[in-house]
Amino acid sequence: MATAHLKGTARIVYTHPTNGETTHLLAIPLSPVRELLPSLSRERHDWWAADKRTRETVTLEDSVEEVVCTIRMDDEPVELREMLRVALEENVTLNYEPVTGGTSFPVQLVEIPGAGRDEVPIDPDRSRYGMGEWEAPLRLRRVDGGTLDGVFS
Amino acid sequence: MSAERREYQVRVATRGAEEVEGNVEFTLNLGILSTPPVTTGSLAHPLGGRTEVRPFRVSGVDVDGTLIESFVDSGRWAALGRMADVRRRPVGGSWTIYATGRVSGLDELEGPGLFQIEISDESWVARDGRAFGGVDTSQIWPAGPIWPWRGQIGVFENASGSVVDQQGPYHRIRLTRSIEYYRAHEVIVDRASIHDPLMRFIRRQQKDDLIFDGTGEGGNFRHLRLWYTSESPTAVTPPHPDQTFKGYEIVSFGALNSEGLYDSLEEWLNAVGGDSGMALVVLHIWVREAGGVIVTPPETGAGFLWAPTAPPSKELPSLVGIDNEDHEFGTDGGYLHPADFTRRVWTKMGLRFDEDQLATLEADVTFPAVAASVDDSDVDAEQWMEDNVWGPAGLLALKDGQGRRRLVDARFFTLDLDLESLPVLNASNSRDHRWRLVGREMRNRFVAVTHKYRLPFPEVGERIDFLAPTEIRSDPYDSDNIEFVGERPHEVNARQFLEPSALPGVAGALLATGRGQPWSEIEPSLMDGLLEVFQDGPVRYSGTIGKSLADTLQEGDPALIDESELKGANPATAARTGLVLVMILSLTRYPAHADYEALRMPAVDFPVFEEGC
Repeated sequence: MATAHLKGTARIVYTHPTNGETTHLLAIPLSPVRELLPSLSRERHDWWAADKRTRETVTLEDSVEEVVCTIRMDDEPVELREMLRVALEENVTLNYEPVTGGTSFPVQLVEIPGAGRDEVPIDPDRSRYGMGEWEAPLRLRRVDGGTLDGVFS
Repeated sequence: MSAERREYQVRVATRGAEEVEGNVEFTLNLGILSTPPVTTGSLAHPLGGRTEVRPFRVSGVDVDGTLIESFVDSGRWAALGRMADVRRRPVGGSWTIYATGRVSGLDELEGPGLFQIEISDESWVARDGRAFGGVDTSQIWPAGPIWPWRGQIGVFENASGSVVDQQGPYHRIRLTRSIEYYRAHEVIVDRASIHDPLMRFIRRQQKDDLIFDGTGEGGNFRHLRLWYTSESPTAVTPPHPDQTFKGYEIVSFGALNSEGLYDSLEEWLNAVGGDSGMALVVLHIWVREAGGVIVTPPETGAGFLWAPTAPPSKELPSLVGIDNEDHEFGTDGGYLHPADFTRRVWTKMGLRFDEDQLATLEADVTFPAVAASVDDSDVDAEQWMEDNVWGPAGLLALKDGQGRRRLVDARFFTLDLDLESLPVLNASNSRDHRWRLVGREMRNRFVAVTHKYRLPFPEVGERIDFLAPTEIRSDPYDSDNIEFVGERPHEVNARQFLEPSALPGVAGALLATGRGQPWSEIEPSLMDGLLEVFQDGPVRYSGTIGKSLADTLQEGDPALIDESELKGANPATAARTGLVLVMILSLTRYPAHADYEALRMPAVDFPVFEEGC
């Protein structure tokens, strides 16, 4: 495959419920920036008074870090889809490890943006479908209070 | 401005616990709650004294089966009836409980893994919804209230008795009682006469399966007993019959067979004679010792018929406000302050309540004094209190954040409110201010209905105890708009309060002892106040208020609405200006705000507010 020589720059390691520890190599890290959208997420309730000047705000817990990103040029669609399935349905933690920096980021897959709640779709890669490659948009969230700074900064 | 980070918890108590605090079995934190709980309190209806209970639901995620495990015990659902509370705190601050109730339902209607826990008012499992149990305040024969009530003399009278026969475990007691009668409406009128209401009551007491052969352990009547003692009548000492008398099961009032069950009574039923005179009523009553033990009653003595465990009925109501401070619904001198009466009812029902609030109300002697006659055995006690005490007296029974009952004075029109200390709803703490004048709730004629009990002569009506109330309707309190919109009357049910024609000396005694006032003393101000609120149609307000203000308010609280900022129409100023006094009727609490409903109250001697007030 054309992307074979790029693999090893990043990977996702997780524990499959039946197959045990599994590594899914990524063609490229979760970048470039235009496809990587970091954010802080937290439940917030607010209310504005009639004068538009007074606001009451109530938040719950500390913020959690999220990134919306896309796995690109993946040449193992069956394994990719299975990884996404167990992450959503079995609540398996995905450990994203970009080779740069060497830090592992444990995250939960919150959703596949654009997909129905009961679906686990993957899409043909927008530029390399002719090479049999696939892509998958993800919303990832770190729930242990840690940071995802190393993913996008 | 206010920004606050909060934590929320729902705590569920162990089964059978009457309070959550100290009995927490498990806690749902934000790790399980899918959203902060949105709670509803009571919805008040001031005109009728009614409050609606509004359940609310808490959503919890069943993480790893935690909720299933928490609500299950020995293979069965063990969720219902448990006390639960909802509390919040700013991070690092103290917990504040803002809703309490009992688990009344569970479901996963939103999908597997998402529990919806319904929490309702705790009276859902009140131990005894019927606080008015047995009629122990009146004798059956000789008939009448045992202790003084509304000026009626306490009876506590007996008939002379002697044992004249025995068959197996049964003994026949002959009771005699002299009566002085006169013909009134074709019946003999005396406390020891035998008449139709008495017979109806006794026949209803008859058990379905009659026993005359000595088997079994009881008699043939459910609650009715012959109370008999060896002491002579003059030696009997009140206040309580069973201190001296023993209750015997009654087998028959005549022969030891079903055909002659009432022979002795029917001989005297509405007996005719001259227009007046003396007679000796003689009753033969077969009795047995309770529990099947064979014991001979005293050969001579005194007795009377009493059914202290019989439920209240139209023939034999239960009396409240008797002159006996040892009775659960009596006081020294008789009559009860509505707050005192409420305390006794809630205590008997096993409900938690705000004692401090009741004590404050009880110190207010501007309420009417209660002397009630309860004639319905199936009535829910709180429903009865709403219809007969709270509503007419201008009280509301609400709940506080801890789920306790709280009695609130809804007579804003008579209270000396410190208006400047009231919270003001304005553009900086509320929004979506809306108002509506509800035409179908307009009431422009108020009439109070009271009961007066005649003195000094008893007469036979529908009651065994010879207390025949006369219904008195007040002169109407009319609005001047009747000629334009027609009459829309409302009757204020004041039957259970001391009647207008107060007994000599009673009014002063009531005030001195803090039990309230005769209804006639408080009627004008109460009725005028109701007219002010309802004669042109009540005005209801709705909107939302920020949490900073919502956290300080409860249902039943007074508040002011600043129409110059919120731009509602104000009839008092004929413009969108001025301050309006309202009562908060309901609050639905969200994390950062609350939805409210309120009722406009008349501005009595409303001061002109200076800017900045």
